[in-house]
Amino acid sequence: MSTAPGAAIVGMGDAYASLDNRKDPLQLAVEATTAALADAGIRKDQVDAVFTGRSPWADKRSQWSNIFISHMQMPVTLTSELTMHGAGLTATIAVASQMIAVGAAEYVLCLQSDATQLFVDAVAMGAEADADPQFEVPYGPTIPALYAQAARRYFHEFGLTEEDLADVAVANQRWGAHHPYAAKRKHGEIDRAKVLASPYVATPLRRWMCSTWGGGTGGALIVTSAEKAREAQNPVYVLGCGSATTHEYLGDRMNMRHCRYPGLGEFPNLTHTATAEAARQAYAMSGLGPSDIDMMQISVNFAHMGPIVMEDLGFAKKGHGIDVYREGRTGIDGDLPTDTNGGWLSFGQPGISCNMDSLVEAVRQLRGQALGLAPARRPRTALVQGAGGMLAAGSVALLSSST
Amino acid sequence: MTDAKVLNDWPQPYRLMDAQPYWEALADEQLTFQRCADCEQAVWPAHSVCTHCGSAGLSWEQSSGRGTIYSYSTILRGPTPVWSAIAPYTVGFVQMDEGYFLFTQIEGEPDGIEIGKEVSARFVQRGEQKLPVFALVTSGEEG
Repeated sequence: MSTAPGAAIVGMGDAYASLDNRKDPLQLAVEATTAALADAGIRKDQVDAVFTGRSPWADKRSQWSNIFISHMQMPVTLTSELTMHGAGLTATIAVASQMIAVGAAEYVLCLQSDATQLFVDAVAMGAEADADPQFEVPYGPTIPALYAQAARRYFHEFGLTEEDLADVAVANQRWGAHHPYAAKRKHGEIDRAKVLASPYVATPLRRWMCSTWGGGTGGALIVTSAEKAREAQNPVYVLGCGSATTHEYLGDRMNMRHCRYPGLGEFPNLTHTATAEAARQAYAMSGLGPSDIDMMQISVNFAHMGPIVMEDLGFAKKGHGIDVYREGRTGIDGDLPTDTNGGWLSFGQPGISCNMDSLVEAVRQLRGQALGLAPARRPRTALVQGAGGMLAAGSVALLSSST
Repeated sequence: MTDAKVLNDWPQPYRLMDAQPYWEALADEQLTFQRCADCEQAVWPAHSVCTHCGSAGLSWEQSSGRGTIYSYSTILRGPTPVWSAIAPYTVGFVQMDEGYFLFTQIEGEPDGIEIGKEVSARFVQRGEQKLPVFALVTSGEEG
């Protein structure tokens, strides 16, 4: 049923920093890229294009992708930043695949790094980066408070509770407690009571329902044609991609009266995201559906986004995504292991690189090279969902160890 | 002026030209919004062209200043010292009676704030700027 993939990831590199082992975003990017080039068995002069997400929070110079190739002394035909927040990173795989498909590139480097915790007061600058500076910032919103607008509506419309959100945090921490670079690893596994005893950050979200800023990470992927990938050792094929974005500022989204994408429901709403359309595209391109997915790495920066994303990806009807967690499907013995590095909730968000961490985790799991826990049966097909902004953008990539 | 000074001040709106009439009216404690002459829908935030039908026939109207709470969150941890000083405070979307959604601060005890409750606007001075904030309508004010 699935169509032949056009592209594959043939090189992967990752790099990590912490308060005790400080590295800046440029250092992390160089380390990850060097490892990815070696993994792919190519030289830097064979890279034709470089795509990144937006500038790292810890190094906000504009033209960051061009700063990187300059620093590397690595001339290429094209550099660009896909600035759909975290979703842009997943979309770099799609753009790389398209360039390769039309013969405009042989090898493309998809890259991101960040180290917010090590260099930035993220609480102080957080909402200012993602809220409307004209109509929202003057009211002092924080990122948790903007996401909480959706949580409150989700509770109101579908009857979910804080207990449900606690279960998402517990499920993710079960993975994160065993990943060597997870920001919340030191806390070990937790239970519902622990989540519900943690203080509110922005109601109804408590501290354990919010992702944390954790250390620094870099991730680099070398994409080439599926044909060339036949010579590679551990290729990961790109079976399908999709992306969509509906807004930058939540106030714009709230004042939309309709949306061209039927998967996003009646407008206005805060309980459907652009991920629904991104998933539709990726499933259509690959010929796959939810039942073909063995593993997922998704963007759960706040606990309610777990069930909402599950619904948008087609694993449950709207309002029922929590069942996927309740039934244990996302765990190591489940049929849909999800966020196997702990996800953004437990692994943390080193910054804009958090979605590259999801891609790295998917590649590692598909190759049988997990740094943390891995399910007994190695996954063959993994779905990576990147989201970003204030419920703004969604992007999906379907990756597989086989064609 | 030091960075610390900036962090300690109320953040001022990043004014764009479409919204100039909105900010000017607020200085006189008037809450305004745009309406499209062609499709008759309320338009918000401020635009040059109607987001619903594409018409350039937008004009400013005064809002009743009344609406209902669509969603909200009470912030326990303020992002900077000025906000920490007033925490806990609540931000949310108000569905205005005219049909648009305004992001704002909702004053009052957090426990009393609920989706669907009626609110009305009042004005507060924040630095150089007068801003509309909302408070629950008590039964005595109704009618």
